[in-house]
Amino acid sequence: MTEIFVMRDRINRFVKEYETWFLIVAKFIGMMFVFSCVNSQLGYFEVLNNPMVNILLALICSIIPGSFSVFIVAAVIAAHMVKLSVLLAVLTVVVMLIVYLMFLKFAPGQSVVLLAVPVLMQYNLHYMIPILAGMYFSPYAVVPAVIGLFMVKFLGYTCAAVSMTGTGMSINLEGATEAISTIFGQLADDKSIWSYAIAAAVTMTVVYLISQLSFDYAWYAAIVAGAAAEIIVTFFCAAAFGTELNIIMTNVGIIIGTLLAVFLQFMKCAVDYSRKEYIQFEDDDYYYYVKAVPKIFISEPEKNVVKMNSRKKAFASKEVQSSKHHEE
Amino acid sequence: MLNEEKIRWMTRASIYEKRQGHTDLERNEYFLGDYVRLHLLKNMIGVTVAYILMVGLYAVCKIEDIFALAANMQLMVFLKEVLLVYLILALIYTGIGIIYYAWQYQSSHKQLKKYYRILRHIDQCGEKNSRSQEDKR
Repeated sequence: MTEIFVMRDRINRFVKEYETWFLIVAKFIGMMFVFSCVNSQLGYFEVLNNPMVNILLALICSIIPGSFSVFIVAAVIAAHMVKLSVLLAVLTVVVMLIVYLMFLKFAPGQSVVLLAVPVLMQYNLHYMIPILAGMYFSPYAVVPAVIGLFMVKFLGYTCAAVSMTGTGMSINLEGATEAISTIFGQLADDKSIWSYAIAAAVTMTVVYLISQLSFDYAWYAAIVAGAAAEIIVTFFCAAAFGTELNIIMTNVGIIIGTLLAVFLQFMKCAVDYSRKEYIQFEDDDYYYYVKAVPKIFISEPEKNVVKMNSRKKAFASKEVQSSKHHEE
Repeated sequence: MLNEEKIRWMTRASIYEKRQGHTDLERNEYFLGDYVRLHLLKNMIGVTVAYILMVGLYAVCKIEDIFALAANMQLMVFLKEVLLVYLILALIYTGIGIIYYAWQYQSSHKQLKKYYRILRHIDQCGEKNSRSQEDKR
């Protein structure tokens, strides 16, 4: 156990030392995943499929704030859609604008949730998001999570509707009307969005509320309770709405999310509840009832380097000297 | 001689200023009511634009039905319905906005209280330091 804490301490120190670079590299890798996801799903604009362009865009996104990265991703999506069909591109931009104005304004700093869902959805692992988002954001993070899923579905149905509108610059207004009706009809019928929204909302609320309580190991209890709630609600919703569910990957996603959340919480804060203390004091304005839990801090064992050779040499030189004395 | 305690407090203060302090200080320039009202106004502009776009999309989808309504002189009924939905939406968003922005303001206020306490500590450290220097003289 001591070794684990020593390792934790070492990792934490290393990460803190190079925090800025870690953030930039993490953002860069994340954005590479996002752009490769967008290109694999859409990929109509050949220039944007070029890996060098992706690297350049990811580099730009790694040094600008997350909310601007969302705008760049939206621009890339719009460019792909323009190449597919101008009418569908206009529809996509309008829908993105509506989503931004109606919902995303309330979620500043949660763009990571919005971008992570489409990436993880490729591998059916998006069920890990609610547990992590519940830990690090408020339950409102359900909005960007659901919007991420909604946009993936929307773009899927929109690309499928290209046969109605015609490709490229062709403008078929009758087809466009039919396409819009079809796309929104399909979105309304797609119960998997509702199923995910309900599961995510319940999970985030459970994680957030339990983590705010002050009993021992509240964070870990919140993570486990959130995971249990997510499994139950997801299966219940799938049964109620009659949606298809990849049971194995859903469970794998939830388990990975739980393990990751536990690991991150352990790295963030490790405390010894057996030595907790309750103290009470006051200042000019308030009385304070404080529960103080000491952090677990185990310093690295000091290494004593014993120089065997030098001692031998010293010993040998002494022997030589003493032998000389004897000879004299 | 470096005052380690003061440096610790100052580091804490500068970390807060770097991360969140700027936003919190900006919010603190307003009274709670003014802050909520200003953001509600911005929010309403956004919601209105979004609603116009949504109505536009709906109109494109149901263009034939709308022409039929216009032919039957029932366009006003349709417009009234559109206006009613807008009012309901505006009401919901106002409610959510009041709760959200008030909560945002209050949480900033709490953080700022902690920040001011840190500043007070820095002041006290400075006073202690100058007193001890005077004593030495």
